[in-house]
This record gives sequence, C-alpha cells and structure tokens, in this order.
Amino acid sequence: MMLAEHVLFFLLLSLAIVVMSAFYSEPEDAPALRSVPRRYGVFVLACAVIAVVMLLLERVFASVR
Amino acid sequence: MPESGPPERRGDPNVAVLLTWFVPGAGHLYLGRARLALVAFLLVEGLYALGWFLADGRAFEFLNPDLRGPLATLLAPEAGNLGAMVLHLRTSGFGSDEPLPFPTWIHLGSMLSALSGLLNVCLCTWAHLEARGVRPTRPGRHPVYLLLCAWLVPGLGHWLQGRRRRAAMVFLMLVGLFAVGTWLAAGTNLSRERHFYYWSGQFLLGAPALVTEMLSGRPPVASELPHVDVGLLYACMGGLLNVLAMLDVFGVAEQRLAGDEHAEGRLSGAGEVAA
Repeated sequence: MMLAEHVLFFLLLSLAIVVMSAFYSEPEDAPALRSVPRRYGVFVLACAVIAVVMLLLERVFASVR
Repeated sequence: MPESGPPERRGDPNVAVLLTWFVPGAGHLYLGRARLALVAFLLVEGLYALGWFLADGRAFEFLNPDLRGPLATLLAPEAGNLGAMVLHLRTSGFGSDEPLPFPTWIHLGSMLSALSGLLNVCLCTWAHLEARGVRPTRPGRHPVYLLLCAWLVPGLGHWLQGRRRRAAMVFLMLVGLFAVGTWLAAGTNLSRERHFYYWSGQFLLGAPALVTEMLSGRPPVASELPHVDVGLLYACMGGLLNVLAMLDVFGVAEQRLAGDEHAEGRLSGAGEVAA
C-alpha cells in the first residue's frame, strides 16, 4: 500500500478519535467543536513524533545492514 | 416540605458492582431489592445459557489456538458476566483438539452470550447507582436506560437526551467508520470465527454491527484484500469509540439527575441555592 494511502487512512481515523474525545471532554457542542482543530493538531503531531522515534530506534538498533 | 440532605446510601457501591459482576442480580440482592435481583439474574443468565445452548458451549473455539490461555477471553464481551464466563471456560474450555464442524446456530449463540456480558455491565452501573441512593423518578431519564440505548444505536442516547446535533454527528461518524471498514475488509470483519478480538470491538457498536453481520451471511474471502487490516481497524474503532459516546451519555444523565435532585431539594445545600 502506498504511503499516501496509509497517511490518509490514519488522518481519517484520527479525526474520528479526536472528535469523540472532544465530545467526551466537553458536554456542550460549541466548545467541543471549537477545540477539535487544536486537539487534532496536537494528536497528529504527537503521533508523528512517536513515528519518528520508532523509525530512528529501528534504524539504530534493529537494522540488519 | 421536601427532605434535604444527600441521597441515603444503601450499601457500598464497589461491593454491589463486584457482586453483580460475578453473579448478575447479586448486587441488587445485597441492596435489598430481591425481586429486581431475581429478574436480572434470570434475564442475564438466561441469555448466556441460551447462547451456550445454541453454540453447544463452543463459542470460545473461535479463538485462534495460538491465542488461547486462561486470560484470553477477558477481552471478549462475555467478560462482563464473569461468573458465567468462568463457568463456561471451566466446563467447555476451548473445545477438543480435533477440528469438528460448528453447530448451525453458533454465531447467534455467541452473539447472545456476548449480549449477556454487556447487559451485566449495565446492571453493574445500575447497582452502583442504587448503592449510592440514586433512584430516578422518571424511567425515560434513567442513566442505565440511556446507556443501553447509546450502545444499541450510536447517537440514540444523545438523541433521547435532546442533544440532537451531537447524536447525528456520533451516528454518522461511528456508523460511517464501521461502513468504510466493512467495505475495505470486504465484509470479512463480520465474522467472530475469523476475527475474534476485532469482532469484540465492533460488537460495542450495537445494532448496526450485529444486523449487518446477520444480513451479510459472513461472506467468504474471494480474492486478495489489500486493505483488510485497515478495514478491521476501522470497524473495530467504530465500536470502541462508541464506548466514549456511551460514557458521555451516562455522565450527562447522572449530572441531570443530580440537577433534578437539587431542584427537588433532596441534596445538601439545596436550601442555600434556593436562598
């Protein structure tokens, strides 16, 4: 599967996760929906950092070359 | 003049929950509600027994032999009815080593035993509320009723609470996730036999997942499925995220109940609020 497809699927799923967590945290709709862009940015950024760390660890410790 | 003061605790909520988890209705019996306890016991254990009967006690044989172990079924919905599940495992275990054809009604049987686990979790929350002395006067606003509705159809709990916009968004998002997942996996996610744990996750989506499974007839794999892993993940996440929606519904129902009690002067400080 193409990397772009992976990223697209991830972005779609993470949007659902973020919206649901915003709904869980905020009983009122308006503040919950307002907080989605910030939450989404933080979520995607945090996932990107984890992915980079994992790739680095793989390259340093698990490479067979 | 209405009585003031906090609702009278009828027992320890944690004890009530633990008792219910092991034996459905035991928590209510502990709280002195014998008739309700009996009805709950018969309903929840009856469902499990019917499921056991239809599946000939072989529902856990769906689990991949490599994954079988003493704690392997704790992620299955049946774990909500712990006593019955432990008895099931001790009696039938994971079946014999020889592969035998499954009974005709095993899928329906496994759905019923899973449903029994979910109903018992709702019963646990009910016992917790009762132990804290919370007893709603209007059944339509009972947090456990709304919790069950939120499981049955994603968004229905919000809808009944009057939160219509959120209800529509929750429904579209979660059922949409499940639909896209099912499409990507070409319907292979709709079989507990094929994907035991992913099925457990999507079971939490309620009727959309169960009805789709029953209507689909569990299609066989006809060709290579390049997106099957993503499809399984999407369908499972639809169910898991519905738990957040259920907790949201339950939390708001509890808050509103507390608001009603304040309005009726049943909570401490209600006099000060009125003053």
